[in-house]
Amino acid sequence: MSYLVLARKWRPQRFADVVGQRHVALTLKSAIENDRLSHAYLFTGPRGVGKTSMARILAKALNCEHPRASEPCNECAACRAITEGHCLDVLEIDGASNRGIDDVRQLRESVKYAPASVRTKVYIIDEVHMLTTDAFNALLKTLEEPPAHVYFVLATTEPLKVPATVLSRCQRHDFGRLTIDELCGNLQRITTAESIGIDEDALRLISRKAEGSVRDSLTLLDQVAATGAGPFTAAQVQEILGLSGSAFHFEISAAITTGDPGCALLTLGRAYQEGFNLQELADELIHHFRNVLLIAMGSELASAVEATVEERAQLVEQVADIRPVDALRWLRILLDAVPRMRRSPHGRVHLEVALVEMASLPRAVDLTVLLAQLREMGPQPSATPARGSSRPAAPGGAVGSAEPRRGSSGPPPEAIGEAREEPSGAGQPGRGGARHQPREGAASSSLGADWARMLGELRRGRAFLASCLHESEAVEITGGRLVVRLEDTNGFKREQIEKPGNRRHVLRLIEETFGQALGLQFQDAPADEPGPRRREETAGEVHEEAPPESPAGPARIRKIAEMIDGDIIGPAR
Amino acid sequence: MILFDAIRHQEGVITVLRGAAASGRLAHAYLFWGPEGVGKTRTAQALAQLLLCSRPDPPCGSCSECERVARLTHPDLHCVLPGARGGSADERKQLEAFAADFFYVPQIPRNATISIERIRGLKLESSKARVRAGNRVIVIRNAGRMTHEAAQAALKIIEEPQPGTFLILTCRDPSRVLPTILSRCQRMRLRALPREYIEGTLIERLGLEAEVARFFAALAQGGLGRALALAESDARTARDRAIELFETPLGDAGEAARRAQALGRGWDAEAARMAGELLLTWYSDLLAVRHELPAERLTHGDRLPQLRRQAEQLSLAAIRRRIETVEEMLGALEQHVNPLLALQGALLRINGLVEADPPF
Repeated sequence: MSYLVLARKWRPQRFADVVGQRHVALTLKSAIENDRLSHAYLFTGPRGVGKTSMARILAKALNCEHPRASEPCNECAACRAITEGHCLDVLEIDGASNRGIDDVRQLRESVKYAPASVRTKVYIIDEVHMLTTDAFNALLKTLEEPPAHVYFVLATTEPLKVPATVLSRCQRHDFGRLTIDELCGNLQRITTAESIGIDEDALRLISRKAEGSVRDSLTLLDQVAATGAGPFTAAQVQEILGLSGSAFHFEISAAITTGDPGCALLTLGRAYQEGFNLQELADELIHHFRNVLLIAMGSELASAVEATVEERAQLVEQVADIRPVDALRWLRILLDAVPRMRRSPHGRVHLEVALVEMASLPRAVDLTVLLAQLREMGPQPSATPARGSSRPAAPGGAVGSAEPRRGSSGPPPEAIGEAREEPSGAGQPGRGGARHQPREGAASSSLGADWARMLGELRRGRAFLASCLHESEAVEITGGRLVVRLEDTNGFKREQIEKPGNRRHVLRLIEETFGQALGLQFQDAPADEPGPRRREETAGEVHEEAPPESPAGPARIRKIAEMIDGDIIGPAR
Repeated sequence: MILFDAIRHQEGVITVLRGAAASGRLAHAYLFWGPEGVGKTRTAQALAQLLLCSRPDPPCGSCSECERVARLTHPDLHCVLPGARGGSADERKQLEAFAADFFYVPQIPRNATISIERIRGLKLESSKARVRAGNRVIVIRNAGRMTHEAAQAALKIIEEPQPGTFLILTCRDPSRVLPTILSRCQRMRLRALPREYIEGTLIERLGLEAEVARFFAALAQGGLGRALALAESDARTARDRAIELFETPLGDAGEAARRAQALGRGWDAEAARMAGELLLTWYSDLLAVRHELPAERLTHGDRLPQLRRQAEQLSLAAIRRRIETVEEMLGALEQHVNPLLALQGALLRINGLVEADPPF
């Protein structure tokens, strides 16, 4: 009954056996050869990549009676005693259980005695990050200058929790995660030796699931082998390890790509009925859509896809007409939902919402396709001159367009109509502006200068008020009122200026600088209002990328908006 | 009795375990995980029976070892539950109830943990000689509840226990267990139980009407223990109250306050939490109805007309907002906000009477 799990049975016993981590093994070996060993080492790295094993090998290499090229022989009494864990001089201490200062004091006591049976004393402190602060501090002196026969090896998964004073006394070696190929090669070696029949795709699956850890991969292999009947295929391994079977996530993603939320929900329900864990299913869906994204992005990324051969073929087929933007958006929705699931008492509903959202998400419109369609729409209306028509589609078009209005031809009628369709933030400057056009048009060149002068004046007396008007711009003079555009997201600035005393002060200064008594009217700065949310819901791509100098007239813009089912927000800046 | 034979709908895991035992490949550490009340601890106990049985071809189910395991009085079987200190009255009581009633789910206080002292105690215990001749089995229930220190301290015994010592951990969600522990265990997922089975058991044990049993079975999401607990706490009435409170349109904020006062009076945090969880299943149903899934998939199939009506009125974004609001309320309750306040706040938000908080 005392079966030794593969991870323990195949614990590496020589430097050469350690999978990956060559940089550490080589360094240690040559340190032994050249007699340049440090008396304290710190091994760090994720779980199951060989830290403790390396520490034990080092202990053996130091004490072996017949070392061969710095490798332990694993045959002499010392090596065997260390492997079996009953060598009196190689102490493996569980730092997580013996974490107090008293434990360290005890250790200090024992350090000074000479080794009993072998050449050196090696203290391996595993999970060293769990020592208390007091314990760490008590260890410092010993760690810095131990007796000549003593070596320390500290091992931890969380080096950040080890105090800097300890770090600086140790030679640190970082162990890395293993690649899927390394893990797979190792598994192959072991399955051959253990005569476990399993095909390569299955091994790759296990390696992928192990997330870079040798121990995880062996634990999983054990789990598969424990079911008895080999040889194993990838599908069987999936079944045994309880991976939700790619069938379900393929079905779900098919429902999403075809835009069928009901089908996605049904499949999810079925997976649930069959007892699959939805959290895990969601994690695998993320993995799946990552693959979708990679494949959609093109062939050069296909090597990063982690999937078996069949899955890959299936993926390629499914992804055929999917663009990376869409895959990315799906992935975002999923990534957003998974942490919610984890926190929720009823995580399922979050996954359901995410799936429905994904399936009902309209596809992003490809800009190049759109442009091609535009071109097919024929030549642009000749009545609209290219220069004048570039702006009026803006909501504040009439407001911000003092410039084209000065032009002799005046704005084409169509452009004005367009501008009025979108109400501008504050009142009706467009209409009023038309009446006062000649005078104020002439004034507009000096308008900005006057305003700046006024601000300068204001700053001298009332610095705070000036700062409230810091990001402002005089737009025009309309019906005896000066229209000022003010960047004011929460209304605070305006509130300050509108206070009776302040307002009076500002009005007086305006009268002085502009040479006439004017009222003051504020207007929101455009394009900040529509907010990012609305942009996201319409086809964001188009709004963000459409060049403001596009030759298309407003009618065309309206047409585009119809094509993509979007709203006209304003000119991109 | 052979416990393995009494456990239903976990054939996959049991076959693997028995096969591994037969071929001598049982690992020294297992993690059983899956929804609440599907038989994780029971399977652990069954595996303990297999490991401790003294007859050939274990488990025989009839030798004194097997019976002691079934009664949880075997001296070499150690069970750890969160919260309780070793051998304290409560843990003992829970284990006795668990041994006496096959479907009993030990009740763990919400914030209970497994302390490092408990793990150290286990270590000490497992270093001593065994009382009986065979193996030693340590069962740690709700392994996710180990404190950080406890989990770290457990690493070493989980990786290399003494020969003949076996550890069985159970938990609902492995992502709450330290990855370093996971990597040392063979993970076995126990499945959610089929709805029909839960339904049948409820009818058989509690004598419920079929329709009522159906509701609890659906609500339990595959956990029999949960279904029994829900039936006990009368989740149906709670559901009706929650729906009445949250899903009847409101005119103004005053009405919200009045209704919360009237309906929510006397709700403690537990009741409010339950209402929140029930509402989430309601929204899940709303989605299903919205996308025309067959009615037998619904949890709240008995309220189909209302579900239909709501599904027509609400947009996806609105449903999503409701879900978020309820989650927020649950989060607030977790932080000991006054239940009535939490209810009122959620009520106002769901009815759009206050702006939702800005996202940052």
